[in-house]
Amino acid sequence: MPRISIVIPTHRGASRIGPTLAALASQTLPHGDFEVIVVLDGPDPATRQVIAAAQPPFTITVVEQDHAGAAQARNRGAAAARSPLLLFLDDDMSAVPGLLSAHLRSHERHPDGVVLGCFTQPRAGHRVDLLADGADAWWADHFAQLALPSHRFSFRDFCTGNVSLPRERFVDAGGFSTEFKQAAGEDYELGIRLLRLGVRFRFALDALSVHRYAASWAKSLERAREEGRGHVIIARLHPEVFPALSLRDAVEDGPVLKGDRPLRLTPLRLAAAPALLHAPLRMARALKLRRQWQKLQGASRVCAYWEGACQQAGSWSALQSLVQDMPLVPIAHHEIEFDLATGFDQLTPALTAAAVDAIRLRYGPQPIGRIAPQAGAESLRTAHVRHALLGRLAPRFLAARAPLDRGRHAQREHTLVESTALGSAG
Amino acid sequence: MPSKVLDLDLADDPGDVPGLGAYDRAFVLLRWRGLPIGSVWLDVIDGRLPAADLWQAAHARHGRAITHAMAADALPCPAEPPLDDVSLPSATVAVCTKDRPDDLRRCLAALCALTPPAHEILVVDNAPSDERTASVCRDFPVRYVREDVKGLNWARTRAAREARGEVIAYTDDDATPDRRWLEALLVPFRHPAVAAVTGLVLPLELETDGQELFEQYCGFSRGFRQRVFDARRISPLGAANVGAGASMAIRRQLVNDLGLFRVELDAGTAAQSGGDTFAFYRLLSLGHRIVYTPAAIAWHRHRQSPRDLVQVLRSYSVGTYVFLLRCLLFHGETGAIQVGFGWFLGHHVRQLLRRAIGRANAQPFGLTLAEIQGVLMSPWALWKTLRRERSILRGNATAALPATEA
Repeated sequence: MPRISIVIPTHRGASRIGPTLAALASQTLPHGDFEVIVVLDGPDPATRQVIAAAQPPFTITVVEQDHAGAAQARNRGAAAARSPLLLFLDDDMSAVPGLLSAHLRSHERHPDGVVLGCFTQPRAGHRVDLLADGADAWWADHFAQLALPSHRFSFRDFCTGNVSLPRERFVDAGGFSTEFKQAAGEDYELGIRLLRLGVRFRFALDALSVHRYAASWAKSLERAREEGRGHVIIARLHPEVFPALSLRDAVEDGPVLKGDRPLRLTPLRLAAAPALLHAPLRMARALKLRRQWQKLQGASRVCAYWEGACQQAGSWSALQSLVQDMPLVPIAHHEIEFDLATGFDQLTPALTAAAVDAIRLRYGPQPIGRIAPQAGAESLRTAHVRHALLGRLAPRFLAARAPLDRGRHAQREHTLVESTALGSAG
Repeated sequence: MPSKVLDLDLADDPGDVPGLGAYDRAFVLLRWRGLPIGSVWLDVIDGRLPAADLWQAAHARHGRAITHAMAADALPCPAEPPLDDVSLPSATVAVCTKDRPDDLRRCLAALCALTPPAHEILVVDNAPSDERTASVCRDFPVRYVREDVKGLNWARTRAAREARGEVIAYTDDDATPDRRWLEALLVPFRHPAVAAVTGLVLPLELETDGQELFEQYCGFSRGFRQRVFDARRISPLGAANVGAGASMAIRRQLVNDLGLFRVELDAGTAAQSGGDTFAFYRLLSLGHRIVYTPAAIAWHRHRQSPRDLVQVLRSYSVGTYVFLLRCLLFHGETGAIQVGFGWFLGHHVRQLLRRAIGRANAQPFGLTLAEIQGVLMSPWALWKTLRRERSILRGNATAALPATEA
């Protein structure tokens, strides 16, 4: 029996699937240890032919469905999988040779969780591409965040390009929702349900694949529109994560274009935006005026996002009322109080006894601070608390500790804290 | 009035520093358990540096960093088995040198003391006028390569061709890397998106007026916080802010594939400097990511005489404006006009005016005039670099020439 099943959904992917399969053929994991399931989303003889011609050295199953979207395709693929572990891979991802071993190793070390893989989007040669710059930087920042030990994972970290999880957990959560037809966000939505089941997310830097992705302006705008639609669906299904969605920007006065001078968006302005922004965008791009380009393309994407959200909500006023009804603070959460004087090593048992969303910290009688609940995020771990104590809570933590401890640095810490307190007051 | 350069770890609770009778002031690098947290200038009193002054200045300037470091000491790190098995990439350290055997000896001694050690240390002897460099290299376990075509970028390109490590870490012959320099430069490369890493460069000594002026007006320090650079965060035209050639590491394949160090630029050519800046510009404009990490420390021995300083500033100025002109004319960077004029008005003209009205710490006339001279020389220097580029393309040196730009 294979140890891991790779599910690859594809829609008219004849030109993309070849290199993806070739990369899987050169894995360090023996070919007998994995199987590949390609799900054709819509009848697709061309892709079938490419797969047949590739003659991969591993077991490959081709599943076909009527065109119904990637979510449905992934569910079909998962249903056809024979191994206890699922890896969802996009059809434009080339796995590095160690990808499958890295996913397996991560699951061995930390069973029963989600392993988020990493990917890069290398640029071909000497081409300057302002559009790709933005996307590349976003992904690189994203993965750098995930790699921090103190990162608090949220549903927004669950992306389907390169992610593995036990099939049992996928089934428990109920698989991907098929409501997202013309919308993006079925991955976020599954992420919400997985986190609610208490499934841990982890990030593996060495589960690496190469995203063979060609950015285009039209695709980027369409993606923003899909996100707008998807976020409305997510907000309706799971109002509690609303504060973590970009939709929340509309709470005060409706959608706003942020900037030096915030601009309130109206249906008229949204409609006019593409035409108004088109020429300046082209000019900024041609002249390589990067800052202007970034502002303009950011504005265009925000407009496309709200356009999508509006379409999904039904109308402008429906979107407004949807947003107004959403909760802005987490509805129900489990909060505990912890006394650091009992020893920092007592914290881990306290956090593992029950899922904790928020914590109030004190040192003996001295209050130190609170870590607030975060919408759609995993429950607190020791690393989160440590990070807060080393960062924003450090001065109060040291001040509370100094009079009680008789360490070598105690007096010095005390004076130090006073001087920093004075400094920040001044 | 010389200043003493000191390197003190506050976690070791340093006491008074005695024996500074020959100095008026001290420049102190402050560390906490090896990691740099900041630097302070202090007066030397009766030949010693009082610990109380040191702590007071440290708290006043870097209190926040010290607080965070102390809190980290108080909280044990939860031990979890690591999820991934990403190890640091293999690295070749490359030193490009020309006729400075004494500096090179100090540099190599430091490189041989690196912990963990480099996979390979490579010395590229650039168009040497005698055998002294070769004989210094025989005293150390290093690989010696002789590159007869003159030019710093030519030597850097040659180094990347010769190197065997995944990453090539460059330092200058007049720099003395810290023991942990290489390791700190390599850590950010765990992330596949990082193309290059630069480090903190501090003065090795401030024994002469020339060295103090150099540190004051063109010191390399970029601060004590790790920073990430990409085309979204800074304009690639501001590539000079990313770091300096005395402490930079780049994925070797990128150096070779992109022909990153244009051989007609930098020391030994008409452009005189700026080869590293242009390389950073290329990386940023092609969407790559560069990390600056203060944990990688290299101590740079600044030129001693004020006359050398004038020469250095002029060459930096020529290099900067050759870089900007090149970006404008051949890479369509219209922003270069704004940067070029902005720098001229905001720095050169401003410094002249400040000096004229007698502001303290205004840059001396001589230095500013040398810089302006450099600006004026730059079009001619650009013309000469282009001529040289063409002659290289035509000549028989094509084997060593990096890939041409599209």
